[in-house]
Amino acid sequence: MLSHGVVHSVSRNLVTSASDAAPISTMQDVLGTSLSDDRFRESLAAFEDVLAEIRKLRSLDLKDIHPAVIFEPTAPYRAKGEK
Amino acid sequence: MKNDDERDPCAAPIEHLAPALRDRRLSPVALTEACLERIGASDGTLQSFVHVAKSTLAQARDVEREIAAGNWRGALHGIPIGVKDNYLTEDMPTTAGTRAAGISFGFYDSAAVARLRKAGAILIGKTRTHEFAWGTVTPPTRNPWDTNRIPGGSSGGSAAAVAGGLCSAALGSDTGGSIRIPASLCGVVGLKPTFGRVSRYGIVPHTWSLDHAGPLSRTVTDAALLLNVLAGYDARDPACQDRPVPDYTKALGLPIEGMRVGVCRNHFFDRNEPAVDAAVERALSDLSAAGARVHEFEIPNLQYGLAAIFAVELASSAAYHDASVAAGRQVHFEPDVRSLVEIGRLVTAADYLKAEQLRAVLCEDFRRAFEHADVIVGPTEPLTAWNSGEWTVEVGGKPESVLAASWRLTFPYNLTGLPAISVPCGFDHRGLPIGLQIAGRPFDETTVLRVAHAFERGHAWGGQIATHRTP
Repeated sequence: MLSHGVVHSVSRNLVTSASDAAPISTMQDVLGTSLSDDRFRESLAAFEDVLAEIRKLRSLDLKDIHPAVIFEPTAPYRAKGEK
Repeated sequence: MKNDDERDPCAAPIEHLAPALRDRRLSPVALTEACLERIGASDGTLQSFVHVAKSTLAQARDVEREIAAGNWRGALHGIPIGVKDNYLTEDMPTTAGTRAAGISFGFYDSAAVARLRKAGAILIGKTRTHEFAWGTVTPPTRNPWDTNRIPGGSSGGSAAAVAGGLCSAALGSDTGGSIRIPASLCGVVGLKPTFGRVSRYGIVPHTWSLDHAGPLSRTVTDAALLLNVLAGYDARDPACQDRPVPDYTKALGLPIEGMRVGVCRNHFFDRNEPAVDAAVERALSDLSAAGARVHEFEIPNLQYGLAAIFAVELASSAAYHDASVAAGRQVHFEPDVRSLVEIGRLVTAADYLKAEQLRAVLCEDFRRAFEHADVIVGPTEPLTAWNSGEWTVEVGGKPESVLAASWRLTFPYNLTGLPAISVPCGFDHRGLPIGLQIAGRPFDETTVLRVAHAFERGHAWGGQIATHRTP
C-alpha cells in the first residue's frame, strides 16, 4: 500500500516501461532491490512524483561544480584524539 | 518568577524558572511533580510521550539537594526536558518511533543528552517521533491547539509536549524541517543550529549530511540557553566543527535598528495560505518598524531544491535501512515510511551526486544573498496544522502530499546547513499558530536569536501554552 507520503498522483509510465523495455528481474538486480515483483512495480509508481523533480535537476549542467561532499582522510584519527 | 509562573510552573519559560530554582524560591521536585501531573492529565489525549522516566522524581530530589548545598550548575539545572525518541539514552529505551520486530537500539547517552545531564537537567521522558524521523505527521500525537489536527513532525511529540506545558523544553532533530515544522504548527520556538554546531552522536541517523540536532522551547531566550549547553565540538560526530561557543544570550535584547533583513521572494512566497502570507508580511512590517532595513531578492535555483532533498534523503535512508530491507523487516514499518525507504533504491548515484552539486550551488547563492542581509526572514510553513488522517493538502490551489507541502520552506536550510529558527508570529482564523522563519550565516546563531528575540519581545505570542482544545 503506497498511498501515503510522497505519493498522491500515480502515473504508470515507469511501470509500463519496466514491463515493456526490460525484465523486472534485470532492473531489480541492477538496483539491488529484493522486493517482490508486485512491490517493485508499486515502488516504481510511487517514485514517479520524485522522478518528475529529479528530471528537472538532470537538466542542469553542473560539471564545473564540486559536490557538497568532501572526503576527509583525517576523520578517524581526529575521532581517536590524534592529530 | 511572575505570579502566573508560580501558579503553573511547568508552563513557565526556563528564563523565569532558572533564577527561581537557583534562589530556592521554587523546588525542582515541585516543578517536576507539576509536569508529571500535567502529563497524567493531558497526555492521554496528546500522546506526546512514549516513555516517562521512572527516575524523574529521584533526579529532581538529587537536584534539590545539590542546589541546597550551593551547587547550582546553571540555567538548565532542575529543568524538566523531553528527549525525542531518536536520541539514545542510557536509562530509557529508544525506539525511533518504530514497532518493527528485529530493530533495537543501544542504551547509552547521545552527546546532547549527556550534555543536558551534565548541566543538571531533569530528563523527564522520551517524546514521540514520526517513525525513523521520516515524516511530518507524528501519529498518533495530537496538536494541543486543536486535538483533531496533527502536531507536525518529525519532532511532533517534542513540540506538542512543550506547547501543552508538559515539560519546559525538548530535544528535536531536523533533517528537512523536523524541528521547525512542528514548532510552527504547535506555536513554539524551534531552533535548527548550523550543521556541525551540535553533535549528532547517538542520534539514530536519517540522512548523515542533513541531520541536525537542536531544541524546541517556549521562548527564544530558552532556545539560547539550551544552545549554550548543547553546542560544542565532539569528534565522535564527523561533521561536528571545533569552533568557539559564544554565550548565545549575550546579544538578546540588543536593538535591531539598522540590521538588514533579507526576504527571498521566490520559493518562500510562491504558494502559501493567505493567513500565512498576511502574518509574515505583518512581521516584516514590524521588523521594519523596529529599524531593520528590508531587502528583497530571489534565488531561482531553489526550484531544483525539492529534487535535491528527495535524492539525498531517499538515497541515504535506503543505505541506512539496507540491512533491514534485505531481511524483510521494513514490511512492518508504517506504510508511508516503508514506501520512502523502499523507493530510495531508485535514486541513481549520478542523481545523488548531482543533488550534492546543487547543494554547493545553493550554498553559494545564499552566501551572495548574505552580502546584503544579516538574516533572511520568511514563513516556516506554507500552511497551518492539517487534520489528522489527511495525506494530501491543497495549498495555493495545488494538491500535494503533506510531506512535499510541509518541508518546502524548511528544506533549503537543511540543504545549505544554515542556522534557522521558527518563532510564533500569529494565528489563522481557526486559531492555529503560524511560524516565522529566520535564518542566518553559518555559525551565526547569535544574530538569528537576536532578531528572533526582538520580534518575540514585541508580541504577546512568546511563551504561551496551548489551550488543549478539541473543537
